[in-house]
Amino acid sequence: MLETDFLTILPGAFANAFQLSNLFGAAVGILVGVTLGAMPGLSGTMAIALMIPLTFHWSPLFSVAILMGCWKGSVYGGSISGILLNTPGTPEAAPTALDGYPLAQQGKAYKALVLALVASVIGALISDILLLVAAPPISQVAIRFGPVELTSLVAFALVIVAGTGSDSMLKGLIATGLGLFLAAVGLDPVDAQRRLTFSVLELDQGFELMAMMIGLLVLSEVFIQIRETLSEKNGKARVPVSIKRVGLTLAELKYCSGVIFKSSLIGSFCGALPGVGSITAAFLGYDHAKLSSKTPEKFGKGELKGVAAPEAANNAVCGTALIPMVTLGIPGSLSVAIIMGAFMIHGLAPGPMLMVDEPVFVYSLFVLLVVSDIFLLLIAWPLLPLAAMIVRIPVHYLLPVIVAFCFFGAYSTHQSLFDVQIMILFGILGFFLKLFGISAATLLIAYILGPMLEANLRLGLTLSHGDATAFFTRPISGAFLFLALITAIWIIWRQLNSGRKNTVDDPPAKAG
Amino acid sequence: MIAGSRDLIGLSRDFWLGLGCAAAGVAGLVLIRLQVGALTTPGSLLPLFGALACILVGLGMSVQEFRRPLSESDTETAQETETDFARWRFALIVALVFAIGFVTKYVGLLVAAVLVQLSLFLLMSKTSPIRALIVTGATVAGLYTAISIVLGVQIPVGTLWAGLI
Repeated sequence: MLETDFLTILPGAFANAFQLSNLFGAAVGILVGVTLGAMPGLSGTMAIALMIPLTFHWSPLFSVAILMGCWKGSVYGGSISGILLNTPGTPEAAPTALDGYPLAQQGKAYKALVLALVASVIGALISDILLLVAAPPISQVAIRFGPVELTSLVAFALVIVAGTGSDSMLKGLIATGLGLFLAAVGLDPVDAQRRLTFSVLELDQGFELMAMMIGLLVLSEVFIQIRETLSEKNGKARVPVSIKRVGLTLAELKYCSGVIFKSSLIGSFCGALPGVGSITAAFLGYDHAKLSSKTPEKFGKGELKGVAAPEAANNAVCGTALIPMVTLGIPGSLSVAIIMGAFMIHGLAPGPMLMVDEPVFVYSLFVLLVVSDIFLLLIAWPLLPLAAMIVRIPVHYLLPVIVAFCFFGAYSTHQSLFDVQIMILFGILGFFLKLFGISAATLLIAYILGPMLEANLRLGLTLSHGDATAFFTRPISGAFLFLALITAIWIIWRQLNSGRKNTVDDPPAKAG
Repeated sequence: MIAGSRDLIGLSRDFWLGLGCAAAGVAGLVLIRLQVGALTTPGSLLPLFGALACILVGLGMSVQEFRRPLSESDTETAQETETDFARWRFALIVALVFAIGFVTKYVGLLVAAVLVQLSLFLLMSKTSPIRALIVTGATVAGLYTAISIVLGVQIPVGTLWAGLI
């Protein structure tokens, strides 16, 4: 995009973003995200998936503002229960609890919560600025990609997602295969022939994405939680640490500032890579802070940097994670996949052309992301004294309520009861996938990328007159496939290595 | 049972998972042949990728697990956290959610939501019936207000009551 275009678009984007309804959407999203994220067992992805059906009937920007706010809020919210209960509300808050809970035990819960909030906001702001800077040039390069390059790019993304989504590459590949197979259900995109529909008319358009998401991500998690709740013999009582208002001083913030900045960059980098999500970012941020500290022995015992680093890193993922989606149409993480689903429901096609076709929308979204960060600070801070109440809500009250939400959510997107049945079937499938350690997120991303892969592969083959070597001989396409191969080898080597290490730590009891 | 633990004949759960996936992949190939056409048609390309991935990776996983020497964690007795009663109760919950999902067409979405919530509250037995009723009523009323009144989505009443109304 030319610089003059950018300057023409920006006022419109600001005007759009600062509409009262959109600001309200961002604020509601933050509030819902922080609240649900703070409750152990309810993840940010669940929160976003449940919010999508409600946003379906509103404008795209308002809807995305709610969803992004919800995501950012839930990433921070996870740290609240981590600090107060030593039970992270979301997986990415696990390293925060390592030092946050000891701080709370020392009577510094409020200080830890405020530090986590400030670090989260700074991390998110840095990430959003990087998104603003990096997305336009990447998009400019990406619009030159043809079907051959896009096929190889999707293949590369699928390899990364398969390799990093599960604990084993094989399980990741199974999830990918299943996702691609399910993506083929419906009308053939080229000759409109029915495929794998069993003559069920409702399946002509394939499985409804929202119903599938709610089933795989929310209902399956509810089943897991119900199973755990039923297994609890005495119903573990969670008693949060009391919150005394001992605030964060400027000197303490200055002490953590270097770590916050570096962890924000680590998180932003992780966000931009497909498949490397906020959990990895949080642990990398924590490890970096510990390794670079002059007093690493203080970590795990209530070190302020141990709270600031993972929080800055995991929130810094949110902004840059949108780069692959906005510029290439590739969802790098589960949360982005859900948000990408919301884009598609609203008729927006994420990918290289999005910034060309809908520049005002994209820049309005970027502005709203920055606004959401400020809202996170303004909304979450006054609510911190209430945090102990939020984390005390028993999960067994919430589970049946969430199932009712699932029923309404699956129905309301297309007002079809068939979608409710699809949601339940995918809920049961998701439960079994989790039981076997297969990532539902990988399946979902493969399902979303499947049609893109098929369309570009078939078009690429047609353009090259059926010559498949074009995918290897064209430089950019070849580079993506080479990268995919290297990545696959590296992931397999790493997994074999860690497997060997485990075998050494855990010697064989008897021969096979 | 815990992931990775071994069954009576000394094969891990992942071994059976791999075999299951390979079988599912073969079933997928048959489905493609029956529902799409010849495996060489362009329309078969995407599902073929998926089915082949399941077959090859599934077989690979089974072979890998078969050759893997037993480790200590495999031979440990699986930590049974679930009692039989809890397991049956859980199975009943899943079956009920499934059944209610399929009778929604007849009883309507609101009744289905009430039924599913009350069943879950009662089967989980962690909440008193009165509280369960209050929470269920409040949730369904809230959802009806948000979805039907605010968003204007028509909620199906169900074929069973349609004649009565």
